[in-house]
Amino acid sequence: MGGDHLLAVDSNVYHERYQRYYFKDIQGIVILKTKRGRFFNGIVGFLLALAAALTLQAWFASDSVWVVFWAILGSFFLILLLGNMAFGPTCVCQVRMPISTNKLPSLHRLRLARKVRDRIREKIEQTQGRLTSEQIMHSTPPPSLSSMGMTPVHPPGSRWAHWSLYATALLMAAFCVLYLFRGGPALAGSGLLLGSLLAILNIIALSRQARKQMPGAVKASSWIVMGVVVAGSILVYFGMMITMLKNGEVEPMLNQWSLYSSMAAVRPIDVPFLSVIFIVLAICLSLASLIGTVSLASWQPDRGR
Amino acid sequence: MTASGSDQRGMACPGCGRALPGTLYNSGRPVPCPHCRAVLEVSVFPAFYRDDKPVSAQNVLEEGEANCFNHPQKKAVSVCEDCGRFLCALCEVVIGSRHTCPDCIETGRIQGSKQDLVTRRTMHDSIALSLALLPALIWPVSLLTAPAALFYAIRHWKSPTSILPRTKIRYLSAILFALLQVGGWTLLAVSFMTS
Repeated sequence: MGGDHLLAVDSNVYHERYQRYYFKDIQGIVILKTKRGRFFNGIVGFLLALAAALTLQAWFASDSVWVVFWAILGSFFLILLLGNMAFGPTCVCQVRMPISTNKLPSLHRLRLARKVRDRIREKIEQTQGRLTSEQIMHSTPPPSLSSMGMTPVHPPGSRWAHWSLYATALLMAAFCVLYLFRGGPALAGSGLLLGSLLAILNIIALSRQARKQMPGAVKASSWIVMGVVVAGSILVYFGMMITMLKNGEVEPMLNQWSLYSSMAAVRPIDVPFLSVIFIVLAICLSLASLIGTVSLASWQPDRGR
Repeated sequence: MTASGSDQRGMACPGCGRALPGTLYNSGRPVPCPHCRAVLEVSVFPAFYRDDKPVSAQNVLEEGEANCFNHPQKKAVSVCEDCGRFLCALCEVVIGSRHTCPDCIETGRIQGSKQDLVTRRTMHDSIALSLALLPALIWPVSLLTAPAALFYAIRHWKSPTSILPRTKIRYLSAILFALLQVGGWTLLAVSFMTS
């Protein structure tokens, strides 16, 4: 904070961009509490529970290697979860200037944003004076938004991306159940293609919902599908790889095709933790797509108001 | 006191983008947006209600009155604190609490001498450190990158980096690592030649 301005620094490792907000020009500050922290807690909590369940399963199977592996992974998720909870709720902080409204990206935690706002408020009141409640009460509330410097209203979006996403997610859930009992290169290849399609549709849906007005449940379910796809891909890949290593299959590592065929030959139903992973994936994908479908079907966008 | 400018100004909810009623301003506690029910805290300040009229330069009215350096027919209202020129209301630029002229701003921007005008900086020290450290993971590449890191760190030793307080520790680390790598390659070359 400078003597007469707030300096906002946007940096990556190699470049910094600066924006100065002079206290005499700051018109307002808005802090909006977001649910991003809670979603993160949910996803990490789910992964922690999964790791804990797999640790217990390995413990009862007296498989010390897997116990250590899942315990380390679980500890990592626990640290993430505790860290996120310690930092507190998330928020978005915007500063309103005469010709623009700008987000302050570094103020994404509510506690920090409030602290900074209170410090800025002192400086602003020293420069501009204090606003009384009578002055606010006697102002004319604006009937509609200005086109200049206001956060744009997100128009309602078309829903094809989300419908396709939820349909593909349901298909993927059904595929997980099928693959649980039948392995094979053909099914594995189909699964890879379906997973790729799901990931692409997910990215399209997420980018569209960022710019469009959509219910919170729809947005949340898209994020949950993304989390399940990413986590599921990693867990399935490492699970199959470790199963092959445990079976003493080292030679397939030398050749991409033999690696693929050996992994595809693993039937998840024969490996307990792979079964758990596939079942959990099927359940999560089904639930997320069900919630998203119901929310999307019942949503009536508010057009033109 | 009314909201300045047109009736269309107002604080907007960052979630749904709709105008917030004045009853939510400066409430001192979290309040729900009446449209999307998102919880938010709105603080407004006197500048929100300030009526900023467009600036127009007054004509010179009397003999002996100072005129603007750029507009001889316009009355001077201030003096540039950098070059001392008289400025009319159109030419006067206020940056923070300083009064300056467009020519001094442009000069300051080109020379990088005015910190208030700096909007971006390149972190040469971080680039030098990355050049020294990262290629060490693929060690044969360090044959080229170590001397490059050394050259870059010395070349940009005096270049401006962040306007925030920053020490030279990254430059020194980059030079140290680069020297170690160059030393390692030199030893390797010497042992290869002697064997």
